[in-house]
Amino acid sequence: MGNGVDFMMHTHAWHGKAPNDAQLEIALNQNPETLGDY
Amino acid sequence: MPTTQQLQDFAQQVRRDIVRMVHTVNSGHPGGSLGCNEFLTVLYQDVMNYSTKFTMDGKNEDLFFLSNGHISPLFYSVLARSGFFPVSELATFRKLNSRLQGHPTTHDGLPGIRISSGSLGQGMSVAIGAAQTKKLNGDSKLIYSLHGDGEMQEGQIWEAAMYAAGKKVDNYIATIDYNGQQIDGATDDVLPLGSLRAKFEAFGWIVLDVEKGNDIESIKKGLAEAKSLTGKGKPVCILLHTGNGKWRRFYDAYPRLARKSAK
Repeated sequence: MGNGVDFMMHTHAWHGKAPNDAQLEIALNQNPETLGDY
Repeated sequence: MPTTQQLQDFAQQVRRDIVRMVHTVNSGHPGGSLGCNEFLTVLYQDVMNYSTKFTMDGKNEDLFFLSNGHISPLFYSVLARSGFFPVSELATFRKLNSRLQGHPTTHDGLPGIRISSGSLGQGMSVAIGAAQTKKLNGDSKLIYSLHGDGEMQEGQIWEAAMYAAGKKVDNYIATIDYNGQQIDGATDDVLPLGSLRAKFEAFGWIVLDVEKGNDIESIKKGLAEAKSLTGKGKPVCILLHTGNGKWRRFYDAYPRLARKSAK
């Protein structure tokens, strides 16, 4: 669960919850663009 | 065939799509979506034979049914990046009049969506029906489905499991996202699952484990093994381990407790 975004891993807390602006930035920094964003 | 690096790059882009889609509308399910990302990436990019010229019948194609429909951000991203519809449409996720609703629906006509899902426990029944249809039509392609482990608490799952084994639906591979978590907490706190391996085997299924459920190579190996086990008179279940596994290792170490909690 939550693989690839460290603060979302192995917890039910992110079952149905959206990241805020700061959390989004962290998640995207952990996963650089590869094929191009939509 | 894509390389492992290409599959990892695909999955990483899907990961970005998931968090961006959910963030934009401040709504959706990122946890399970991220957890099943590598599995769906391998399934659509490396394993299944399908046409992006989508038809609901899907004759002579491998078919996939998403039963845990709340992980729609993942499903939409993989479908779009596999060529079913424009990637730009991901920007409409959960918006009014979008084809990409929070839970997939068939009436919106989004290519790749074969069932409306979100109400848990129904996908296995539909997948079994599709598998039997393949057999009646002399179609040798396979049926795949994906389920949450919390979904195993639904009674319809076990009716379907009994039926599939009883009717020898051996062209079907069901995968369980075995993460030990569900909406309100750990599955063992909400309603203990016990040993899913023991349960499915008792129902007459072939069961195999993919211990590293987020590892591309492990998933490829597991799906290849699962495919090799089709056609042997039994449905096949993959237990895709995507959690930290502490609770499952406990049951493996103390099988009597697993049997007790399974009652």
